[in-house]
Amino acid sequence: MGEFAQILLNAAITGSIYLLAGTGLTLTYGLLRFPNFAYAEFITFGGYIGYLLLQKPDGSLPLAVAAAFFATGLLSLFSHLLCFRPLVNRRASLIPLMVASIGLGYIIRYSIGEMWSWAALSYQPVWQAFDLGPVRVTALWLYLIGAALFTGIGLHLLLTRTKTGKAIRAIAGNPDLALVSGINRDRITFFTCFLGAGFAGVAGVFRAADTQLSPVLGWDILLPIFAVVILGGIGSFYGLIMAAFLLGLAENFGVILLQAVGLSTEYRMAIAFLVLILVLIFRPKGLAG
Amino acid sequence: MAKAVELAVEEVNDAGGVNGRQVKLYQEDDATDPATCLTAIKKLVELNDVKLIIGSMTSGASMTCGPYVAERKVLLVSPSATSPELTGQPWRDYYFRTCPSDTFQGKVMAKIALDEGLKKAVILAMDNPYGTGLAKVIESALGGEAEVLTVIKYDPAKKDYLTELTQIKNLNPDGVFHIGFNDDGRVIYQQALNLGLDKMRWIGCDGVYGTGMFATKAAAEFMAKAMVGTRPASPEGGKYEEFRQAYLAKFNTEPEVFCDTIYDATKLILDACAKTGTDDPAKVREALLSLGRDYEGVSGRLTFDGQGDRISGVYELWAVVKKGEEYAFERVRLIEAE
Amino acid sequence: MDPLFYIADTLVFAGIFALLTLSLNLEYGFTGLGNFGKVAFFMAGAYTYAVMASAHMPCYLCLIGAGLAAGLIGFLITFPVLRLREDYLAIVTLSFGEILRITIKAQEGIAGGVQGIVVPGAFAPFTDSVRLLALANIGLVLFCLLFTFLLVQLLTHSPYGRILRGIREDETAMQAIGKNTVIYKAGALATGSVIAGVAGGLFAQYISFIDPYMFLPLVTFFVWIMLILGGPGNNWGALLGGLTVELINRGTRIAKDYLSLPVDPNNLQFILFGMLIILFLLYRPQGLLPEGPVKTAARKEVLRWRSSLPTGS
Repeated sequence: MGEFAQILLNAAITGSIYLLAGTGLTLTYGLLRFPNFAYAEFITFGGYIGYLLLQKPDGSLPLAVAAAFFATGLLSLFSHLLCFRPLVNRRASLIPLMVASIGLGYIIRYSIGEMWSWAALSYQPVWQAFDLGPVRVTALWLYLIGAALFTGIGLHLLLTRTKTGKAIRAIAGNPDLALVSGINRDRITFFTCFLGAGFAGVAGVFRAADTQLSPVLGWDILLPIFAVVILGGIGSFYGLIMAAFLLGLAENFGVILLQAVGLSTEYRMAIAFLVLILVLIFRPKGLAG
Repeated sequence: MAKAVELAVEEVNDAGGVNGRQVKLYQEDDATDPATCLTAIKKLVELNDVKLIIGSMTSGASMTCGPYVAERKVLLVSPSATSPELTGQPWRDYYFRTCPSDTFQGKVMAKIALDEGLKKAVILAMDNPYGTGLAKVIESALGGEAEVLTVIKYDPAKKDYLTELTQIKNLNPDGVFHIGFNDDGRVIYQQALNLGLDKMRWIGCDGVYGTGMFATKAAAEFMAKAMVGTRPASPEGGKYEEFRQAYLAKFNTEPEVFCDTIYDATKLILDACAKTGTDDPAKVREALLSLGRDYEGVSGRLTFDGQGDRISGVYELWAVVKKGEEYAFERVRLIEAE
Repeated sequence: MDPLFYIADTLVFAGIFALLTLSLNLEYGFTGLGNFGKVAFFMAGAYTYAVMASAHMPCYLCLIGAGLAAGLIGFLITFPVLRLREDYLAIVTLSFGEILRITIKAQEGIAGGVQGIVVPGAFAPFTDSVRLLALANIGLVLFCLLFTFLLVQLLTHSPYGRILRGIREDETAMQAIGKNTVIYKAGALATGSVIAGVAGGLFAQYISFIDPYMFLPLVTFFVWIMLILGGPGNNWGALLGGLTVELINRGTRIAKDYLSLPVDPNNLQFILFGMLIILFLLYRPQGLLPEGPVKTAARKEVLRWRSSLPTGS
């Protein structure tokens, strides 16, 4: 029983990371109608910004998270301004936009590699660990799940209670109608890019704190995040929440199954891909679609 | 490790070079990646006209480059490729190694576990020739005396091992054998500490030896609490001490693991050239085989067997101690392995 | 000094990548299909060749096998998703590449897993001379490249090619005139995959050792850069793109030795490639060599007729 609980905790950890990282991706995917592969690098960038503040054991996690949020948000703003908006204005179709996002990703990733080297770095603070019944928990994991909860509730309030949030939903649902209703599409898009990437940066901080920091931090989990976005339904935040934790469960329990059948744990990634392909074949609009 | 080669070359050049000529050293970085290694070796051989190479550093890269050097008849001497799988390969004619095969290290690791009375163990091995090679040796060396609950092979590039470690937690063994490198080791130990796995005995090996491990404080803590390990050791005193002093004097830092074997590899190659008066790889390899009989190297007494493998090894049992706020590796004792 | 070998090596790699670029050109340049898993079919071909060659089958059979295996896999994987949107195809192909790589990495039984597999060269039994081997490989790659180029030119400058372009421009319109677009798209993907598979076989036997780490998504990215730079929709452009990018790549590696730059050339290379891709997409989306009209026999007739008219019409 205690074994199950530990795996459940792992699922919550995985799901929280996917939620934080996937929020921006699904919202901008819904708004701009293309998958932004540079989100991998937004995650990574956030991790490195966090590192600036957490490379000493006495670093402050909240400060690192805040710094990562704002810095990554800004990075996304610049990317949108310099790269994606000009392309969208030239009526670039989906694939050129995708390719551009991959190119942008390489620019960011190798710039990070140049500035910080490709060696793996570690956050120095040692998080307090304690036993909660049969389950072993660290303070870091609690913060992570807390951050995910905060994001979930916060974004829900944003999307339902504020004008901006409703504008986001409007544009995602019917862009022309939204324009005609007087919504400033540019401003809303910028806002979403900033916010979404900010959360991705936060995901990067937690991911780096829990594992290790390297320029491929984000890329390593990008494809499961895509699986989550599509499983939840592109553009749907609520779908994303469900999908993030569903995939978290699938991956963590699935690995047990894999080991039982004698397969290597490397197939963990394949679970996400399997989910992705099944969704695309049987329910392309996703859970919330 | 490259520094030790530089030291050796400098010493030889200062003493007049080989056959009256100075030794020129070309350096390439193989990034411990087989494909990069092959490209680097091809470049050295084809562009720079190099015929005597020290490398590859890893067993995986050696598997890749072995056939190529055999085909091109270029000499390759590895100081650190320890996988047992390299023994008996068809391309061994032009491949030597000054480090002992992990067949020895695996037996030593198993013996340590048995001596401590461990009954149930898990083997956590990185999924590459080094890891899987050692894992097999350990499993067979444990024989029937301790039970291997499972062998977990992990992807060293993955950087998140919570699932594997949770599995270990649920299996609850007495001890864990871990075969990995610095990069993945740091994450594993950090996460193992988080999961409370420091209650078990962890036995590591040379891949996770190195002050680089302390770059992650959590990993250092974990190692201090739970870990011992083995690594090929340099004998105490004698020629190793001379080497160590020279190394310290020139580079202001202690020699790292395999610095001694790579120094020996360099010296052996250059001595062989001096002996045969040429750098023709075919002749050099003959000279290597004849020089490599009870050769007194800085890494101990070295003898090559017929195919260029080293026939015995000295290993050290190490542990990590915490002194105040700092961590350091400490030698517990030396172990001879046949 | 053997710069000759280095040049030969560059030519062989450029040729192999040119094949990959031609295959992507067929799929994306002409048919508008976003195949982001090119490396998967390249890998399938490489491993098929490796396994067959290790079983001592003759070189040409191995190459054919490599192509067919890749083509079959290409068809099976993409057929279910061809009816879906183009971004879904992109994500599926990308994901599939990773799954294939993981599978081969994890299952030692298939082809050595992480240990990789040694591949006997096609010409190894015939000669020991390294020079001859290099020349023979150049010859083989160029032969395959020529054959593929003619094939792709034929396909794309024909009514079949016009249909493909029609699907690219407006699939609904093509369906409206009664074309089964799914079959055409599947055909393009299958053909592209066969070419990629052959390229993989050539690669495997040339480099004589393959392991899963050689088949990262990075390879797919390179092919895309080659295509976008060279000119989507133009087969000469594909060749040019392949050669150019390979040269830049080689150039950076040599620069590492002979120039001391403040920036690591390897990192700089990718930053440049990323910027190039974005700049080209913004300001020169047609690539260096833009797409020309479909040169069918009918068009030739019309042009001939037109030029034979008296001036002033």
